[in-house]
Amino acid sequence: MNRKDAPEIQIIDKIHTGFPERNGRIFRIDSEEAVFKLEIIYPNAGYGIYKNKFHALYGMDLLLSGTADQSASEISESLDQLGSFVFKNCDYYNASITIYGLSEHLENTLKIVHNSIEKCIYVDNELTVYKNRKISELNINLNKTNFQANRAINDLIFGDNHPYSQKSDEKLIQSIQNSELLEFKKNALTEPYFIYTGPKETTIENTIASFGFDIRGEMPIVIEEKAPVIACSRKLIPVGGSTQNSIRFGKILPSRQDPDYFSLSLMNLVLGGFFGSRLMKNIREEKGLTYGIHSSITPFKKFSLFKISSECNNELSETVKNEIEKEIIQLQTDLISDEELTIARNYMLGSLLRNFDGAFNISERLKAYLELETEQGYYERYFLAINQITPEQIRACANNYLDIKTLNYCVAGEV
Amino acid sequence: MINYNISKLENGLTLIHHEDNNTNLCVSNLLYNVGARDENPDKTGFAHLFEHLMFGGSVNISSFDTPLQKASGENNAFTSNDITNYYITLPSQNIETALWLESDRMLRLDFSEKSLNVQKGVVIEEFKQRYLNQPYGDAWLKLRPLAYEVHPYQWATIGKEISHIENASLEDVIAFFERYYNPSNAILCLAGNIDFKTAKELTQKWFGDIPSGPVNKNKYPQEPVPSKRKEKTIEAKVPQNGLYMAFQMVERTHPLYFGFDLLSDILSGTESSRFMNILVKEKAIFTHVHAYISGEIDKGLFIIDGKLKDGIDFKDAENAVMEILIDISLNGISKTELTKVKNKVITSNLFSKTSVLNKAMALCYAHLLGDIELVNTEIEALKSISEEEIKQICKDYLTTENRSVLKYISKQ
Repeated sequence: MNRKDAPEIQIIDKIHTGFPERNGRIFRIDSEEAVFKLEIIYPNAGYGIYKNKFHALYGMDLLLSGTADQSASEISESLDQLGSFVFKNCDYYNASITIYGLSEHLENTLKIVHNSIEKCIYVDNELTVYKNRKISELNINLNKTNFQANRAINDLIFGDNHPYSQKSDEKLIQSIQNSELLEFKKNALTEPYFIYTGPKETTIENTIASFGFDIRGEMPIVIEEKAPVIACSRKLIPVGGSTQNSIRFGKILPSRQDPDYFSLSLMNLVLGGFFGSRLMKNIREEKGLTYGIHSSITPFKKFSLFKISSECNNELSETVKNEIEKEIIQLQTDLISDEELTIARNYMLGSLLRNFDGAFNISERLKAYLELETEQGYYERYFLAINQITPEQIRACANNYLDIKTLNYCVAGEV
Repeated sequence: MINYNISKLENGLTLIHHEDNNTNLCVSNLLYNVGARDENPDKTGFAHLFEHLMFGGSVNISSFDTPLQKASGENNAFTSNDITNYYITLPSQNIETALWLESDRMLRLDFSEKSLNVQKGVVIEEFKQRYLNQPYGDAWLKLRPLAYEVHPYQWATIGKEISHIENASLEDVIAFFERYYNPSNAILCLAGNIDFKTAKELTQKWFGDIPSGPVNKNKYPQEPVPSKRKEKTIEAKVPQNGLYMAFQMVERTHPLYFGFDLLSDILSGTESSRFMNILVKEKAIFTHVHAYISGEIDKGLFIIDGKLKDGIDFKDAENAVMEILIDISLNGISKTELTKVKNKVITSNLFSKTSVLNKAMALCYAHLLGDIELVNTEIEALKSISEEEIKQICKDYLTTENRSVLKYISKQ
């Protein structure tokens, strides 16, 4: 045994998503454990789709805040007695209720959740307490450079009126009326579909149908969205007394349907998408200027969002900015080595494998897959593409999409 | 129920094995019995800084991360007041890469001034990001030295101050490695799609020839039970007045430990909790308020942390919290109230066991606590906590004398 020689490795040669067939409006993933997860998903109720972002966000958060005959505390009490957890999410396209619990309590839990949502009246006092907490959280966040920088980069990329950049303030929070939340509930929380993960014995279809949901229908029709207008500018936001600066770069990139998308994903990984990326190696592991620096591509239906972010030493944040630009230019100029490409590719294959490992991971992926109306065979094509992308394609992507003149930039902190 | 096998190499390395064939992955979790409580009071933050250096290359392998990424793996680590824990997840067919890398850095690190200086910079930025660059971020830095006068839990794992990190030397690094990083002071768990025979053979192959070393038998000065209420007030650029109350609790293996955990759930966390109903909604004293435990091996802290509504006096806020605790100490709680928080923990516990990595971490930690079977019996211990014990905790532990109070006064 020579410790200098790496053991042989086997490359991942196939990916199995484990996605189930659709049965009406129910997807079910079998698991071995005696616990379940049920997602009730309302398409078109997302904050990016519903006509008012804040009505959607608050309307979801307060769904279990009480009915005419039951207080928020009583509803919570009855769910707690069953050991069940209920989370309310409002994402960009969809809103959803996620229920976790012991399989034996599935039916009773669903009964409480269904009844509480149907009869929710957005009790005044609950709304007031919630607003106070939201204002408090906002005021805390406004003192954080990362929050300020996230707000600013979204402004620059999306302009003022896009849901991604619409901001709350104390006045807006105070102005929200329970009639507006009721309207959201009535109009947006319709036609749900379901993802169930749990023991195969359960007759989940009958249980869901018994609450009057239409489970036999086709998948609901979703609203079309427009891609945002592309802009580019730079901004500095002073945050007094800060000990770090928060740096952000960002721009809109093509959607997942674009032939370049897979190459862009791999390019992003090489640039800043994992611990072994160029930004991490240079700015953290060579220079020690930050605890973390990352780039990411977030897919939407008609476009995707590219970002670079770092919280860094505020005296040297100009250096960090220059180094980021240098790394981008390097990707545009030199071909990446086969070795670096192999490392990034194998790491990406590992991420894919982890994403689909076990019933609960599969259900997470399925939710995102359905939300973005992903085309069939997407992951199979993704897997093939990762194995075929060349250094030339990565360099071409850096040139075609990451021209520094087209990147929005902002920094919050001591500026 | 988590099944496991356990064996020990001649050099003292403990191997725990857990087989789970529902996954294509394998986990290597390596726990070293050293944490921030083992640090010199003048050189705090060192165990954590050292954890960063463990990624800077070892005697035979120049980079830790790169070969692992090439083998489609992922890894990270954390340091607490008690332990340092390194974990790797990768496709099971490549498990040997993980063992090759972990064993080489246990054999000997490639100590270098450059790596030390870079990681000092990284850790200082981490210090700022987590503790300084956000409102109330330094609460633990202030609360620990108030609550602990003699026990090394008086500093956070990041360290007391940035200068301690700046002053760390390469001699300190080598001495720390030689003192704590050896097979006798470590617990390895291989979990996932791997059988016991393979796990044993591969562990023997890669770790078997590493020389044994000293086991950590440090004795820590035990914190006496406080005899009077302590208080500290700071003015800070925070948007709201903040109140932190810390009570000394029991050791991790004490029969009442889970009672404190359950009590924190009775007080806060859901809409039906006492704090939410009384302090946030009925009396409108706090905008939000939470109770939780710090969870260390020696006596930890039971914490209450709230943000006061404008115009509310600190004294009234503290009294309102105490009224609830005194009420429980006098009148107790109902069986229903206790059952509901137990049921939630039972569900969470089952969900945490759907992850191979969680299981591997729990096995190593239970073994460190002195009985690996705790990984299966702790949930029974939690279920057996009685209403009377919750009452007793409030009466005996959540008292005025046993309380350290930190106040943030908002100065915008």
